[in-house]
Amino acid sequence: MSREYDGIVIGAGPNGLTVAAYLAKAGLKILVLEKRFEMGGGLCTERVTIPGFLHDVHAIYHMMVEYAPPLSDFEFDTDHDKPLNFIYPDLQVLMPFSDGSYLALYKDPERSYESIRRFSEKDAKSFLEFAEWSEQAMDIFLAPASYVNPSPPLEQAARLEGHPVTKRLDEMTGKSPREIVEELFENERVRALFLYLSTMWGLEYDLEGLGYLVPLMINRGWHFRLCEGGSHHLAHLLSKVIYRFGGMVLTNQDIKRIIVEDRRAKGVELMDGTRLYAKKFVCSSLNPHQTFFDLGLEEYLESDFVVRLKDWQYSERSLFTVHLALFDLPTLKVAERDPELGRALIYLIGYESEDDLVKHFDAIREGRLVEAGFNLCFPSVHDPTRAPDGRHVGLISQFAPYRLQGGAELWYRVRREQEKRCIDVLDRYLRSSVEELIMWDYLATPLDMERKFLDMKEGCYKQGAYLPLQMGAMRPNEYCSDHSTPIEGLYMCGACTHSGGMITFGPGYCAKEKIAEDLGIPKWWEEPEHVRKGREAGLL
Amino acid sequence: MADQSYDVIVIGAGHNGLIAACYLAWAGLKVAVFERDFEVGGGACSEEQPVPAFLSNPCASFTRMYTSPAWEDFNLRERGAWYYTPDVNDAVLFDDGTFLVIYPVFVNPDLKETVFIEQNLKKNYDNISKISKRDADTALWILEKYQKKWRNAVYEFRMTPPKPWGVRDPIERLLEDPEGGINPAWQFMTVKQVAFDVFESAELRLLYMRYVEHTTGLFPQDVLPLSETLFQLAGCVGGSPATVVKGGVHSIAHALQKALTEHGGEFFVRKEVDEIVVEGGAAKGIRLKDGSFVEAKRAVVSAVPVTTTFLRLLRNANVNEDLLRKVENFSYDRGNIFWAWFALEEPPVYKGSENDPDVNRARRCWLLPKDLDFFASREQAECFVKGIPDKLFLCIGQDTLIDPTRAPKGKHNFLVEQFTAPARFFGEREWLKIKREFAERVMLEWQRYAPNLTREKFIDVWNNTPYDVTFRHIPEGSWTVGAMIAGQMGRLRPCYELSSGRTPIRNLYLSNATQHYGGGLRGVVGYVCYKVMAEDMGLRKIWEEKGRAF
Repeated sequence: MSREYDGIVIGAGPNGLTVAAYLAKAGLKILVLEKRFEMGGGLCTERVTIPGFLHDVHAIYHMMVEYAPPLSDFEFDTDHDKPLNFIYPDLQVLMPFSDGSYLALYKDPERSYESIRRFSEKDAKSFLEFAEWSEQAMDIFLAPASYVNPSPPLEQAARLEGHPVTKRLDEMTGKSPREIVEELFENERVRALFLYLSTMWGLEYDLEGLGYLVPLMINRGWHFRLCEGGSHHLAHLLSKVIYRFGGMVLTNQDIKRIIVEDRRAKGVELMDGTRLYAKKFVCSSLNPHQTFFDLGLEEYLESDFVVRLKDWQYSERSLFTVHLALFDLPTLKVAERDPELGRALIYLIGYESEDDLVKHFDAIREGRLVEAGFNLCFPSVHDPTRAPDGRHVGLISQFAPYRLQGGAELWYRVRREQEKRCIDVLDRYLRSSVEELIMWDYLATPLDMERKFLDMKEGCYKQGAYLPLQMGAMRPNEYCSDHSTPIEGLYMCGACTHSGGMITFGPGYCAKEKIAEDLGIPKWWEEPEHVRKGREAGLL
Repeated sequence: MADQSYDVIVIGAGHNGLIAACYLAWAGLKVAVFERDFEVGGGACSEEQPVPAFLSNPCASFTRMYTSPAWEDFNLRERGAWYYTPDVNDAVLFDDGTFLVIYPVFVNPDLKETVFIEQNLKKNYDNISKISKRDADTALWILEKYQKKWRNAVYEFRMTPPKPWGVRDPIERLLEDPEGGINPAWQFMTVKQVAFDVFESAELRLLYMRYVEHTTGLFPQDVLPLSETLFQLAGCVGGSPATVVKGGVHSIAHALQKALTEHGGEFFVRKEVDEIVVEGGAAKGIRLKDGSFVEAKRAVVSAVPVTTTFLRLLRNANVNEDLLRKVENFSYDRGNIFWAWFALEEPPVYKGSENDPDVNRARRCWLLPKDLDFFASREQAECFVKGIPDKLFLCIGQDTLIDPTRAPKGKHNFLVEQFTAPARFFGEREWLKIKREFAERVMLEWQRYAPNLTREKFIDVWNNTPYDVTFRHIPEGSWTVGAMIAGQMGRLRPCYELSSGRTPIRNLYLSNATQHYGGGLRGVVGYVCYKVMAEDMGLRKIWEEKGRAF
């Protein structure tokens, strides 16, 4: 193993792998170092119940597939690698209620309109109009903005205000998700559905200042895809790009510190004393505290910067998940009349009204575990490769606090209790209890998430909360939002940078752009079409 | 641009296939490995079970792959693989409160040279003496023979292709050595007979038999190959350090993959091979499940079980009926186990530790009812009929005592092994019932030996039965991928005609645990396969280049 590289990337999650793949293909010798025994970060697929049953234990619903440049920039289906394929079911979200009624969101908004109509004609029309507008807003701004470095907030607001489509985004910014949803919809149940979608990825229901994200969250609600073979396959394919261009990804690597010489990041030192040098750059995909405090950089930082780092906050709310290996698929009551309803990608179970959802959020804030709703998925219905013939896998994802009353450590004691609550809620919507169908199960709590992914402090899978002062040009702070840092040669590319969390590849994409520009690396990639259009429209 | 042609295709990316592929790539051949599963490694796998951030080894766990030449040849250390050596090998606890602590007598601190630790030998001698002076003397004698005679012979035996009838292998040569110390009757004796012949105390007899069960999957009624008998006699009294792979066994798979990649080899996952294409008595390539053909210009290596190779992949190749019958006769009815990982709030505090704190520090704990006849005569029957025998003889892998990185600070992830029946003996629902019952029984049993392990100290459990393992496409869920009984080991594994690794098809070779030297993460099957291929194909001989005897 050679000791000198052009670039070293710390962390082999989706963003780290993205930086490495782009720059390896650009001709640099890249080394990616991962602490865990497996690379891929949140793109992990594991056999945690029974051999032959594959579970996406973290990232599962891919929400930016049509916009993410790495998915088209790399020729993933080469040689004999299983090609990258995203499964995009027609029926995206189904929300059954205990009286037998249900709300359905389809890929096609017209069909969703028909479903919403049964609850409220007015809401249905409002939805359709909102859907059409949100598509435009996604295309012209929300999507491309994820793949370019952010502009200063005032400048950005002015640009948005000046364009007919995005003007409405600007107007929404000061409102909370709940306000926006309640303005759009009047029916309690319709509100429940859309408030869920708005807050699904960690946006707080009563948070003002990030209203522009609500249309993105709602719009993505009918754009969810599964990665065939499990999310890890994406990481596998990215690593193949890195290998093909002479790079290397090493796992089980324990980094002690980032080496800084002459005020420049020069490489890393491992716990066993091995030094690995990077001629051109070091890029960290970790959270700001790990990068700057845990890896020995504090002595090189100005006190202002340190204060800003210490200000950095993590989300209030994380996820409790239940992974099931099943003898067979349970039958939902709602699907008994119409089997098509058994083929939804995501089921929203257990919330009968907007109020139920809000009560759940409030309980979470208080650190209380309660019987509440969740989203449910049977990935094997859409991707049979995830289970042996005729068998199935299931997933329950429920909002949950990291910090329980009594402390986060309590999760080790109460995890099975909480699973029971979820099963009890689920059973109410099933023809018969799911219990007899369970071959084995596996639980993951917010504490587990923090322990599994060391960058997801407090179970925050975005490496930092979505708050007005932690987004765009302030993510992670004004010094680093262009992905560079106060230390020369050191860059950041994790979800704590723009454009944030979930599987978007945005932070990695933006970081590699900055690195390429700073180092004068010729770009083999083209500007994405949607970015070009956004720039032409004067929005980026 | 799809590559339709390689020099060598390897079917299956278990560690044996990966090692063969690494050597072939090192030799300058263009190699591709095709794996059906979603990741490489086969039995060299790790999963975060039973709880995230608690890392388990669902298959191979007690391994010493650094003894394989591949460890040095491919610099696995720099690719993320490492082993920790425990200070205390075994704590053998009997249900009457007596115990025996065993220390590793031979260790490899840098995973290269073997170092003899005299004070550990003395400690073992003293500890065994408390039970039986005669057995202590025997243990001393065993370890001396092991160091002087047996170990080299066993390693040479393992790392070289089996010899034809009439040509003596290293073990057979040792039999003729007057200083060898081997009782020739051991070749034909059952494990129980050897236990009773060598040791006098119930404790050592139990330990030996249970140790053999653990390392080879055989019951007391089975006949163990002599090479294994020698190795396990020494192993049960500290002859073999019970090392732990840092960061989980899967890091070995990764390290091998990195080595393969850096030598120019390729690997593909989720690519199931449907058939080996044979023309004119030679393997031309493979056909994938998706229908595409990939050419192998020089050879094909099948690193999947021999039954899969012959009964599926070569189904259209007109293999001799007699040979097929022999392959079908290959038995998988041993090495069928419960493999349960328990996430713990705190480590066990064993009875006896107040007298000897080392009881709590062992890498491996044996919880053995002191009922010699039950184990020697009845355990197998009870396993086969009941699934869970009335008395549990547990082997506990206390991994996180040695590698704390595999659980959050202060918490532990321990493995519990208990033998049971081949998968076909019970239906799937029965297995599920048995599985749950097993977890409950283990928690109760464990508490008998470690009273601090009350119910709430157990965070969660993940349990694997032979039925579950069949989903890995291993018949009967046999972890040794075929019984390691004398009748199908050495030159008889999987049968005489195939034991060299060559097949009736000219350039088709075998590199799976169904070959010599059998199951477990030993890293020798792939190396032996390469040796045979190197001879046939005129490839570089790494052992000669590196000045190794074998």
